[in-house]
Amino acid sequence: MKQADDIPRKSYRYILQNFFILTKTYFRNLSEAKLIGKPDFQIVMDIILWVLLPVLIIVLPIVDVFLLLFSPGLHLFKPLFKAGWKYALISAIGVTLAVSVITQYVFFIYSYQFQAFDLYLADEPRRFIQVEIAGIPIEASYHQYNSIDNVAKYAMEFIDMTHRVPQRDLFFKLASFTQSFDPTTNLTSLPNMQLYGSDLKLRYFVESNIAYGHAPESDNEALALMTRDFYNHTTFRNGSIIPLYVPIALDKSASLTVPSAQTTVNITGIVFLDDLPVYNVIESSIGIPLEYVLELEDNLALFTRWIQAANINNDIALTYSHGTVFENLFYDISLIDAFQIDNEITILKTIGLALKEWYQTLGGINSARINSYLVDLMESFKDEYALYQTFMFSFLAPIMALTIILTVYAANLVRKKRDRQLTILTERGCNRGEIGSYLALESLIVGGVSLFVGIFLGTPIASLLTKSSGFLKFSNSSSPLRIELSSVVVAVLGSIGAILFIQLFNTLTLLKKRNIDDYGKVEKSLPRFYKYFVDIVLLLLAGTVWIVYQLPILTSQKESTARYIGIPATILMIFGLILLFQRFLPLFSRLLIKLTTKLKMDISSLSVREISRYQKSFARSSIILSLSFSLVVASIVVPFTYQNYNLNSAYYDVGSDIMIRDFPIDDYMLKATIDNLTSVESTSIVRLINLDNVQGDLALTYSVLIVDPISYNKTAYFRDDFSNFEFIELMNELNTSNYLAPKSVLAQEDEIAAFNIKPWEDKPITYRAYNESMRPILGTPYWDENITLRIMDTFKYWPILVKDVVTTNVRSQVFHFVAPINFLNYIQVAPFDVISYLFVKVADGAVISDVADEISSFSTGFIFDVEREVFVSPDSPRSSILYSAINSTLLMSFTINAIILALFASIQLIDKSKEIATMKAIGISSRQLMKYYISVYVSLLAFTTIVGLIVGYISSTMLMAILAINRTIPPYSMAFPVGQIALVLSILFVTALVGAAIPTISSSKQEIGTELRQSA
Amino acid sequence: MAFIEVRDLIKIYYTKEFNVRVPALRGIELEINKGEFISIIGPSGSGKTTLLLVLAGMTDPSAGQISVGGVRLDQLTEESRSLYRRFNVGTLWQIPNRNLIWEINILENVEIPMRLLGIPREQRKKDAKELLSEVGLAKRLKHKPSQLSGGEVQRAGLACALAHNPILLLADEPTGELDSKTAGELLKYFKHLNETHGITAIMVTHDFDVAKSTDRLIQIVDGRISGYSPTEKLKTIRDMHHVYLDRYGGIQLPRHVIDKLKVQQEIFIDEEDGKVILHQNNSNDVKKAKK
Repeated sequence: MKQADDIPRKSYRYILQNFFILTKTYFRNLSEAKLIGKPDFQIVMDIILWVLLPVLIIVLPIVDVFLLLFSPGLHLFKPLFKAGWKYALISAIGVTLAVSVITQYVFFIYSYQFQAFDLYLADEPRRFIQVEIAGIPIEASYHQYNSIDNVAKYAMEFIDMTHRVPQRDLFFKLASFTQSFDPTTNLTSLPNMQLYGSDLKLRYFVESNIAYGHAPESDNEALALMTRDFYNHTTFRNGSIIPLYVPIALDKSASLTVPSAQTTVNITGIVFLDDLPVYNVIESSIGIPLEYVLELEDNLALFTRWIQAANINNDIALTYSHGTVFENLFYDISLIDAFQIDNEITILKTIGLALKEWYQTLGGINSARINSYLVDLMESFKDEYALYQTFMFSFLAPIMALTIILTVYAANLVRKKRDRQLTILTERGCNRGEIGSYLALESLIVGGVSLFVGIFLGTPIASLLTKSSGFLKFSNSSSPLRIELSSVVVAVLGSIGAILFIQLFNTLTLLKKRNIDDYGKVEKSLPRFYKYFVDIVLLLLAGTVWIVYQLPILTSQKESTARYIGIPATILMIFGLILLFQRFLPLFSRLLIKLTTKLKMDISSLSVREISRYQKSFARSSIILSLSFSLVVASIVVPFTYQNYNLNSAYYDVGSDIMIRDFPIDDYMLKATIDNLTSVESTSIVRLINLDNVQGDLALTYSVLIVDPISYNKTAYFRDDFSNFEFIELMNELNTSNYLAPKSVLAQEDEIAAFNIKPWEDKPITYRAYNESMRPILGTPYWDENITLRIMDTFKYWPILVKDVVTTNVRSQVFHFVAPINFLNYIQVAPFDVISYLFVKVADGAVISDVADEISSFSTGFIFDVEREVFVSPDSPRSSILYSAINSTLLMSFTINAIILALFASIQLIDKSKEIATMKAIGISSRQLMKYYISVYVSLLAFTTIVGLIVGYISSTMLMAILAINRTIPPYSMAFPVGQIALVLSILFVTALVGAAIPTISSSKQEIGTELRQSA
Repeated sequence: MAFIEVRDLIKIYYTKEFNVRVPALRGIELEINKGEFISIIGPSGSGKTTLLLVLAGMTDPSAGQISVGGVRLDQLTEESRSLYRRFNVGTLWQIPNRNLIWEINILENVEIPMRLLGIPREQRKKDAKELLSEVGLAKRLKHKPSQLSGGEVQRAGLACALAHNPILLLADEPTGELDSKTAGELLKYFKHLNETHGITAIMVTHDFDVAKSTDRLIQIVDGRISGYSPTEKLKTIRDMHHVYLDRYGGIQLPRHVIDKLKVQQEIFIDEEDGKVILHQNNSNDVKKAKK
């Protein structure tokens, strides 16, 4: 038998996937000695990857320190550091920013890593593997209980997974006990009810939460589990004696006569389901509500000990005392590593297989079915997590690039000043080794300080990111920050890597031989790399990669190619476009000159000429600012588009603002009460029937949504593109067909296209009909019925009325139809197979979830509302990873923009202090000087804002195209939240301008004489 | 054998951007004895500074031989040239911020060449203070260059150039930005060093009066030596009141002209019949000087 631990980790593959997996797996491999049993080449690969690489990263700086201790440049340290500390500080700001970005992302992602699945399960808590043994005789003995439970126990021990499955619970449920309907009197005395038998922890848990009464002690005694609402609306109390009937309708072998077996149950106590604490068996941060543990379907259930429940079962069963046994194995969620979700899924599947095998071999049970909701959940989580990771990485990469560019840019700006110092040293006889080692030493100090300050700053930002609950909004509703040793090591190693890279670049740049006479030269051309058409090359590359990504052959691989092909293409496109737009900077400057001259803005007209004069410097600054603005625009547009899509999806899940499933349509009073609520605009009753037909091993289901066209038209939600036709037209067609063609339906476009059926064609269908009166004739109330449906028109997608987790193994094909309300008169179905819904449209200004709460206070049934069904709603823990990408991008952009323009302004003003002094000497006032320089920066910011908006929107469109959601229904449509973008861009604009204004103000206050002398 | 021997020195600059080769030195032949004080004169772009840079080991010659104290500079590696500069050469440039690091005080500036030689801290401080006292800056030790006057900055630069006790002092128009009084003081100090320490000093200048006070005068025109003083050829030029325009458009009138015409610090310029006329500001007398 294959053991879960034997599953090859293939860890070498993950190095390509992301750096975090690499380090995480490294620590795990070391601690769990996973290398054993691998082929030689894999061990070699692992040694290289997991040992050599980190060792090199750790050893290199240590070697560096030793070298520096005996550095030939050490004797120059004091005067040179004193001379250059201002420039070192500018460099340190950039490096600190880089470290802080790395730290915040690493801490945040690591913190999220083990909590991610837990947070995901906050909305879907069925975190267990379930063995379902249907239709086995329930014995009134503990022997059966122990033997079934022990199979699971031995199976877990054998595959060494007891640490992953710290608890199991065994109970049985009577499937035939689902209705207390008496066909002789045609009365339903009580709604749906199940009987549960269980012992040990589950029983103690229920019995310790009795609201009224006491635990059952003898036969025919049970506890009643119910909601408080149900309790308030019925006369059902502890001490009640309830008669139980076998529902004939559900027992195919029974005759039409009155059930031969009947019994009564004494209710000894009431347990309120809504008051129960969550069933928290494995100390998870999120427990499991009992309804999920018991698979409770309705408002009322009976619960008693295994033997007592088995005896009740014996009393009421018609044939055998058959029931369904459930063994729940609770999986330790905290061990689920979100980065290795594929492995986790494999482990879970292995557990499922082992259970199945052991139940067959040891328990002799062939019908054991494994319901691993966890696998389903993990697979959907995997998609969601991949989506979030795509968000994170698509923003992380450009932000890191932006930070590094900023640092290198800052280094380049200060280089001019350093050049002069270094030239003097060279002339005095310093060699390159001494200067190089001095610069390395300085880098080490800058790096060391930046490392500490960066981590110090990054940690609270990471904590803030975990609290990202909305657009520029932070709250405590999300996950706490968890810092582990491994994440600290990764943050430090990553930061050291970045520092080494940046400092190496800076040192090499400064070591370059330069001609001192170049100092202060006017840079009247674009940066040198434009000569090599870098922008065009990048755009061509981006286009080619994008074409490769769109190749039909890769369609099936879209999930995995998105990150490795789609995102790089987008990033190349961003850089390519930004570089390309800089070519228009001189043109923009000329336009401004013309405009300002025409408007007689003399000072501004003079100042905007600076852009042409110092084209190289301006183009460099403009590249960084444009990148920053583009990121901001993309980081707003992408998540807003995604959130819009989420809201649309929620509407297509629910159908209207609020939907009540299992609505008692005969309760006119209840409907009238809801209709009369001031916060309710309209309601509509909707019914759903699934007409089943089995052909061979293929189950065909015709899912027919039956609507009242008039009220539905007022209540339901539809997006314009749901069909090629107007919604009102389709509704009118349905309304007309009420009288003319009752079996007319609307069909889903893609489903009928697959069968080559066109609108206004007929579709004959066969379904399994039901009528209780057919039982004497056929021996069963079921038979196959043929009808012909007239396909009137088509729609692209229609509400799905909240998806359930699909557990069926049967191959199935579902056709979705929409029919008028009298459709029910023409088909023969069991009344209990028709699901009734009430759609509610909330009045303008009312809060949907509040109205849903109000309705739930007096209504039964399952109430869903759009606000709670949103896939990732703001303020939910799951939203933190989505919004953290936006918020961190925004925060970083604010900082980077302010710093970049401040740096640019400072260096420009230092460079031109002589010019400024001369201007002041000829009589220009400080105010005019401020106006002079601020006009330049405003022009630069205006240009970069325009570029940012264009590039940001283009890159957002590309990013949305590579996110997984583009293959779902409804299709997304690009959002452009003007308000938010305008707000953020104006903040950015102002912060950058303030950054530029500070050195300008200080320069304008400088005395002319001092300035002239200093600039000598 | 002379202390400095230059044979057929050629230096050609290559501008990659415009693909242009500019010959700066076209076969210089020169011999300078140890302890000599030499001045080099010539028009802008004649190659004076290039010759100085080659002698300082700061630029490679394109061809020819240069030997300083028996060391063949044309055969040195970059590393050896650094050591040559560190131990042997002191430089003083016309632009003040090329001599000093502007962000630190002058004492620290003077200490830098000593640090390079590995002189212990106490010794270094003592020597630097002495040197700065010698150039008259004893009370300005903690001042940054921006806090000093032009003459003080140049004197601090000179202290810096002499901090490591070089055997060769190279000065490129050191008095160019100074008034005549300060220039005279600086020159006096140059001579004093040359005489007492036996330093070989080479100075590029436009000022004939400054050049006159040196042991020997070498004239360079178009990258070639066009004359030596005291020779007949040079005297002829001297008689023509020949002055050179420096790279910043400035001219320095010879001392005897200034004394003779009683020109003060501020004068006015007029152009008449293709001639430039200088007016004194305190008199209506018009003195003419031929350019």
